Amino acid sequence: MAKHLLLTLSFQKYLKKVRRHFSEEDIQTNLKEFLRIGFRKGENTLKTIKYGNLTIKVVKLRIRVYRAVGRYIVGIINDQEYLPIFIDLKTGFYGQNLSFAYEKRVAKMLENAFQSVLRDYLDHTEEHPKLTVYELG
Amino acid sequence: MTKLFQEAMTKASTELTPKDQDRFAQFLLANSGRLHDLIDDVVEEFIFEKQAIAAIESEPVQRLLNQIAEKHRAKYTK
Repeated sequence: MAKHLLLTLSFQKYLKKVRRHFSEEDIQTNLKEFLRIGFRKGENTLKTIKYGNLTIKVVKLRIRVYRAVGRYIVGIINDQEYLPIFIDLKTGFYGQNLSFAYEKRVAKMLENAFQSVLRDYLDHTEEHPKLTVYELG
Repeated sequence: MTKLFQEAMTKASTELTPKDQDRFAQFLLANSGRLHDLIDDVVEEFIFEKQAIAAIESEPVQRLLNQIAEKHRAKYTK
């Protein structure tokens, strides 16, 4: 079965924030590598959810382009559709105050990311496209 | 030395080979200045993963995931 990368409008907004470091093509290349070799250091499955015949796996992956290191969350639907949810740079946390307020901010940010990307996926139609499809092989 | 740190050192001395104990000691000495930063980084990653799982398990996200399952069911049972 062919595998596809689905880039939603909402994820493209997150990607825009790190566009100096990562592009849509970088995500595509990184996911192809993940399909080829599997998890690397610092990468893992966050959750696997089953709905009858449908399995949605949520994974955390790393991306490195030149000297920039990032991490991103991808929803994998039935091992066929790869839906990136959120991306950020994995730097700049040293010396930060990892307080309860920080934790709350991360929680809100991730919940918003999941909601907006999943809504785009659900609302996507040919007449009103909300995502771009790339071949992963 | 705290009790927990003593336990960690005992574990390292009983479970690591003498060669690995030396490597471990060298790592601690070389990185003692950076240890705080390393711990912060690990903690940050832990918070990120914990909150990502909490987001997936939250009611609004679960509702959307259910809708996706429904959409797939409808698509493949046509």
